[in-house]
Amino acid sequence: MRRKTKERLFFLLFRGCALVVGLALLIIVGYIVFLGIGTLSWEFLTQFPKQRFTEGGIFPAIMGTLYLMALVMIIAVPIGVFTAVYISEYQGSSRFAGWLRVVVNNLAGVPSIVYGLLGLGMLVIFFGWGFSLIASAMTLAFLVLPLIITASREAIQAVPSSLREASLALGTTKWQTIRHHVLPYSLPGILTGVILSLSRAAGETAPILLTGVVLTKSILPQDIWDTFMAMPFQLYALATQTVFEKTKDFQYGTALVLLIMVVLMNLAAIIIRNRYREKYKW
Amino acid sequence: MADEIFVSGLNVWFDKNQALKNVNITIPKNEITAIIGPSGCGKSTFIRCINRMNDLVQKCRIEGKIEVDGKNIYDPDVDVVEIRKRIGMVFQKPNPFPKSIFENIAYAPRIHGKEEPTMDLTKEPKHSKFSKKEVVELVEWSLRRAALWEEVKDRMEKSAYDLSGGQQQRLCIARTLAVKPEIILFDEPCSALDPIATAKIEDLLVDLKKDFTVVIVTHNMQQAARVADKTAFFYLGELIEFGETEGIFENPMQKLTEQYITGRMG
Amino acid sequence: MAYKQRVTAQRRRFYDRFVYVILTIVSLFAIIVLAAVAIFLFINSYPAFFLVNQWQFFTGTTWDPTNPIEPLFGMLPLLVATLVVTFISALIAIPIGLGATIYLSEIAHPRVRKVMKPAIEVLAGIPSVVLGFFALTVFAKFMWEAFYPDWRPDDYLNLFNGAVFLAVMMVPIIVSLSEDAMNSVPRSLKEASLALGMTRWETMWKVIIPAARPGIVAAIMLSIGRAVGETMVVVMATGSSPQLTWNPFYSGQPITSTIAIEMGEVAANTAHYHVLFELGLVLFAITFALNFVADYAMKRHAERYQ
Repeated sequence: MRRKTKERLFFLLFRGCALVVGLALLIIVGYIVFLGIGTLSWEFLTQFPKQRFTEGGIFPAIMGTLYLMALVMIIAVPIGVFTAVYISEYQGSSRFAGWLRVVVNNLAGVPSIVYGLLGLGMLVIFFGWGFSLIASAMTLAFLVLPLIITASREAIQAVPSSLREASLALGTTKWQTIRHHVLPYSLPGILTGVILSLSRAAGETAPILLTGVVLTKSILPQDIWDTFMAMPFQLYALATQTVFEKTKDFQYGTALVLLIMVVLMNLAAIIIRNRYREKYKW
Repeated sequence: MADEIFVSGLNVWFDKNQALKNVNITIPKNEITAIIGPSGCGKSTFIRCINRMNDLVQKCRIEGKIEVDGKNIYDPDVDVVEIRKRIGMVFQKPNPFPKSIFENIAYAPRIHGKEEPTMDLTKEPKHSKFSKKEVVELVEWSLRRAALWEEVKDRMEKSAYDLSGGQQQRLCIARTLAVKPEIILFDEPCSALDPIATAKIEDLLVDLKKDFTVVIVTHNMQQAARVADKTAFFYLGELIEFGETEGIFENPMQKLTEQYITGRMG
Repeated sequence: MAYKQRVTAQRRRFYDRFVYVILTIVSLFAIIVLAAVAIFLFINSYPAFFLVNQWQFFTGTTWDPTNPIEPLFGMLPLLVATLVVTFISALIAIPIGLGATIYLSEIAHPRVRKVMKPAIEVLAGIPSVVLGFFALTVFAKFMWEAFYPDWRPDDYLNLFNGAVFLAVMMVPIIVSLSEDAMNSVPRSLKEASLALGMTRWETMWKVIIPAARPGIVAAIMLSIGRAVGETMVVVMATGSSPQLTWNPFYSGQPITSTIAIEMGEVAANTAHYHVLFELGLVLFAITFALNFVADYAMKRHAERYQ
């Protein structure tokens, strides 16, 4: 077979692969939108579920997911960003930084259900937090911590060292240089990482399954020690434990709302990242 | 107060390589001193010792003394940050901050504040903040001194990255001037610039020496011949010869110097 | 002059040191979390070493922990289910993922790439529970009815369903990491090959891909680790019957699924409870090993192009 023909054949094959991926995305998202769009309404978003998930809305699940995201942000973002600053600015190539990087990579690979077990064994039982919002939020924070550290570290290391040198040569301290230059310039990259991490936290089920989420509650959680409802778990529980015909509207609706929330966050992160690349063309 | 830089017995190692060998030199105040030599001879390393930028490099070991103002800057109780305020540096590639022209210059003075002079040595001198008006005046003064004011006075809020290479470098000089150093180190400041921008900066250097001590590293011998009062020739980490620029170029005493000057080496 | 310098210097040094100490303490958090995972998994599983016959655990072929007469904790059915599901998803995801990567990095028109890359990131962001829901509601039904009456999967929910959607999760990981690996191969290599008259395909196959191989291997390892550790997709799509079977069209219950489903129904401190933690420990060990290999491959890749 002629070389040019061979190339054309393979390229067609690869184009086919990309097409398959694109189709998969369109079909999945398309179906969820198609099935769920009819269920969306103001009531659906603002009311509590009634009559065993056949009437009313998913308001408590939405709020529960939002509370989780807020708590995860408060816990994981400062720790993650400061750890990234430490790794990039204070240790460089020392052995401790090397170990820290290995640890972070491994944390990223831990299955979400194992984080759930950790949450159960350590927070719920050992620390005695019980099944609670804070136990779930902390467990999710563990899960997203390596993501925030990695994204922040990359953003920080992308700042050229010539700028650090310039600042230091003007007689400012290391911390002043970080505060006034390194962090501000890497902020968009850090923000992208944070948004992607939060969207991941919003969609996870296994960690909260074992640490505090419930299917039905008549009121919103009153404080962080309370149990709560959340969208991913609601979708899972309805899909696997209820009669489909009766609750299918709730299932489609929950899936769609969750998908919209996550996709919007991902798109926001992508847009920020692109704008940032334009602005800082070192 | 004397602003001579008195270097004695300076040895520098990067890991196992010795980059500078027993350098002894006295750099005079209010003159332009050029450091020349072939690539790798240690001239950048030398100049970076003066404002202790080499401290940032891991595995760098420094022995010897560098005295400024009668005090060895490598003494343990010396504040490195203070050193860098009094000894500024302009780098080879212009490195303005990704901020506005105004902010580039205002950044460091805002942090340092102004020092109130005091004769009472038992009390710590008060640092007070610059008022907004003072900052604006300081920025204008720096830009005028760096021969950039006329070109940017109408676009102070624009990004520094919109300037040409030569303008950016003069901005970096203005930024350094704003901190009111006594000594300014230039590490091959024109090597990334075109001849016209280079000429502007050379004129600027001659003007600056009235108020500052200037040390400039350059790989361009003609540049040294044009602007420098004194010239030091380094080769393979050693100071080979140091003296009046005219003397070095027209009547070098060392064979190596002559070889470099006449282009038979480097 | 000296006094003035000394006081300011001391204060600055103290402040900088203070910041450094705070940052060090904060960074220890990550290490503590990893250690905590290992420690708490171990603490909660080691009672199982005494309560349950370990030989039976690792080699037993029946998983029936709630049997009132004789609870059996053989994990082989669970392990086999994990293997089958991972193997099939890898079979699907690796070729398609690599093909899409090559298309994206070498062939695609820049405008197409601008659309495809975010699309793949969106795909990566779809929560696993939504994929599981899709598998359960739409895909399983499709598979059940599509080829009827000639063929039908043996069980409505089966391992194959799970594998397909695990593949959907694996592809974005493979694409983004492999693309990074291929992009970090120096352009000079590519140009040298083309200048010698090789076609783009030959350059790719013989020069770029071999050069990027450690990075690509790492990408594959990490995506497999993701498949092994994924829970919601398999819980919802593969059925929940812990039978030992190599046939992907039967139901199965991988390790992750088992932990998720049964933990909700187990009483604390029973043998069953501890064995579930032991399963978690096994899972952790497997993904840790995969990560280790991936890390090693990444380092080799970095060494080549530094």
